[in-house]
Order: sequence, then C-alpha cells, then structure tokens
Amino acid sequence: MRNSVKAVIDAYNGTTTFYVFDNNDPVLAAYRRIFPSLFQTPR
Amino acid sequence: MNPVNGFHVRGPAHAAVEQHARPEHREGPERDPPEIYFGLLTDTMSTSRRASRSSTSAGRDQQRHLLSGHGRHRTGRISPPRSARLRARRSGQAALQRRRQSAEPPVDAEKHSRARRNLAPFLTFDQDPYIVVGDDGRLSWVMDAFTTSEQLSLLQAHRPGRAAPPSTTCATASRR
Repeated sequence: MRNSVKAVIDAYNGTTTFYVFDNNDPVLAAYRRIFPSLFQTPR
Repeated sequence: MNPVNGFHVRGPAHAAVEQHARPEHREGPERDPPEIYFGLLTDTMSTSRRASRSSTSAGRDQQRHLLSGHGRHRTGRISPPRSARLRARRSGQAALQRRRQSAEPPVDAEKHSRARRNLAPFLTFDQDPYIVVGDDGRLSWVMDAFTTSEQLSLLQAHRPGRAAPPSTTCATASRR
C-alpha cells in the first residue's frame, strides 16, 4: 500500500488530475501502462 | 408656483423634463471629462465629433461635447456590429465577475467522490482531503490515493475503514 498518487480536484468545477509521486511503485507502473493518459507527472 | 409642481398647458411632465432632464451643455472654460467610457465606473460617456467651423470658437475644428445619460446614447461613431460586440464583452465580463464573486469552493469534498472513483476505481482514496492554493490563486482539494495489491508476499490484511469500497480489500506490507 503506497501513497504514490495524489488526486488534485479543482475546488470550483471538480476537474480531477492524478499526479504521480512515486515512480518506483510497480503497481502504479502497471496502471500507467494500462491507462497512459490518466496520470501526469508533476512539474 | 413652482413650475415643476404646477400645471402647464403642455402638462406637468413637460415642465419636469424642461427643468431637470435637459442635457447639460455649458459654454465656458473647457473642462476635461473623466476618460471613462461605456459605464464601467460612471454612466457618462464623452466623445468628440467634428463640428462646422461656424459653430466653433477660436477657430478650432474639434469641439468636445459632453453627453450624459445611462450609457445608451448613440454616438454615431460606433458601428452597430461593434456596439453589439462591446455589449457582449461587457455582459461577459459582468458574468465572469459575478461568477468569481459567487464561486465558493465546495466545503464538502465528497461532492465529487463518485466521479473520482469512476475515474480511477482501482485506487484507494484517503478520506481526509486537504485544500491547497495554487500559483494562480485557485483552490484545489488534494486527496492521497493509494495503490493496493493482494498479490504480494509478507502481507497482512488491512481494512482502512471507509477509504475503500466494500468489495475492495487493501493490503499493507509488514516487516517481521
């Protein structure tokens, strides 16, 4: 169980963006291969 | 008797218009009107137009006219399409301002919980979101999301309460 994703929700319109905070998480790596456009890397 | 309160052969309304509603036009020293247009801060709109030489003093071609009203005067220099665009822009700005003033962030972050679970149902979300202020001044809720798996060794079952759907069993690693 790793806290490798942070979901940022716009407080005004509910737009949700998932940011990756742990690139070494193998489970998240699998999810990123399945859904390549769902997660974003923070700038 | 005050002509406003009294009666006239043309009616009292005409007297009221004659006394109070005449557009202000004074001869004398030139005054600079405020350079504010289209009722953003005032309902007075100033414009300049070309007048005939016979009606000007000191031989100047330009004469400044001051029109006062509620911003609905036709100046004659703004074409109707441009006037419509200006009105649309003003209404859009007013609507944007109203939306900014009334846009309060939702107090309950659970308002969009269903949408988040639909977006990523394989993640386990924390039930204690916190609010942050971005560089642009907008408020955003941040929720920690966890990846879970049942396929790892050296695990013990862990149920984080309401953080997971009822059908999901989360696991956490433990070192022994």
